[in-house]
Amino acid sequence: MPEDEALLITRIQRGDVNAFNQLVLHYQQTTYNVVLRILGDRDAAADVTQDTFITAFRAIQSFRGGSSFRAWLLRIASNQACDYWRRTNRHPLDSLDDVMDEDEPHGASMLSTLVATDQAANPEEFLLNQELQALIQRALQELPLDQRVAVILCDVQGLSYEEIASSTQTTLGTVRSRIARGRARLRDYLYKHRELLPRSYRLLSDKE
Amino acid sequence: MAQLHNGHLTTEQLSAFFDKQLSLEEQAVFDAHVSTCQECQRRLADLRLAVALLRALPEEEVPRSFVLPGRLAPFQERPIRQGAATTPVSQGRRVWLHTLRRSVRSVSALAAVLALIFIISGILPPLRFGAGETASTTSAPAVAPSSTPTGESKAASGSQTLQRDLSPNAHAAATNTPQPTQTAGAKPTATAASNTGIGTQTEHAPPAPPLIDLGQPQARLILGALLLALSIIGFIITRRRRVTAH
Repeated sequence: MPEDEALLITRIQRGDVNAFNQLVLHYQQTTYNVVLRILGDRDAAADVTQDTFITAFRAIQSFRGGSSFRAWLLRIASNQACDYWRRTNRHPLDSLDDVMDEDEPHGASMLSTLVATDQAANPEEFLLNQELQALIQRALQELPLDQRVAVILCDVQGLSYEEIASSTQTTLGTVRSRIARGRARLRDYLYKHRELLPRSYRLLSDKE
Repeated sequence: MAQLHNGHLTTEQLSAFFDKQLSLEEQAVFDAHVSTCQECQRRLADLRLAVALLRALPEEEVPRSFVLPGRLAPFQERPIRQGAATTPVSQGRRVWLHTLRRSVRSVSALAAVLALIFIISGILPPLRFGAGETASTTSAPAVAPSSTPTGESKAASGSQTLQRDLSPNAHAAATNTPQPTQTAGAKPTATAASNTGIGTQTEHAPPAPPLIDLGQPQARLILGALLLALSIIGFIITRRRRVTAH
């Protein structure tokens, strides 16, 4: 965290761009990655991130001191990313409904069993890694926006439930529900595409 | 809350249990259940795997720096809800400058529209005049020797009633009476004296031409160009400073 965030914010509220840029340098990595995971597109993520900081600077008067600046900034970022997603992705999430229909919590769709029987060995670890990343990214993009944002903030960025509730302007109960449903859908998507899961994933499960 | 549904944890309970977001009591009850239930153990393992995959996603480096340019001025789209009294002077000045910039831009836009109207109206009549002139000059050699000048001039003035200020010159060419250095509307009495046929037209011309005679295409062109230049200057000085992305 920058030296004294509260002091910086006071300076920003007087119109000090340089003070704001100290916060930009500190938070741009987090902001960009949150937006990137929501959208799955680097160019769009860069544009939305830039817009986020411009919007944040102009709306800094509405930031209440004492609350988390990161949560406030990520709220702007996720809102802008979701707006962008809605503008550019109008097709319905049809495949998702199929997943939900065949959702059997106590059935055979167990990731832990499938990874144990996955025998596909691949010598190119780097390529596999990229493939796995792409698969997880696709799984995220299949989630409804509210669940996607909650799961990304929680599991990718490691925010607390309280901070996610502040970022998404919802209650802790809603956050808990969105995270749970998002994770469940993500698990089902990965199970559905289990043939793409690489060996490294299996090793990960064996360790745990 | 620490109740099992159908003998197992619900999806939401399992997720909250995994994140240790439950009360100590709930956590203890579910812990006891999971330790004995293979079904819930497998589901918990699934959840752990999915979360582990998400956590394993690498942080990507930013493609560029997102720092804002130093000249970007804060822009108040909404009234300030709090901290309004912190910098009232700079806020008021900013709003004033913003209002000024907007009004200058509006005036510039108006000037640009007027300029275009003047320029277009300045260009169009010479084109029409050029067509009329060629028609009258081609007919002049054939008609002039045989018919009387007055008859020809009446026909010419009748056909050129729309070409208001240009008809005296055209008429002078048709009647073959030399008019030394006469400009349109400058000496209406002289034209009327030499020929009665155009008397009806010269009555429409103003008796004393103003400083800028809008009846003349050149004057309209010059005025249009002046207005255009003014509007361009207006737009340049009030140009909105956009954030350069790179």
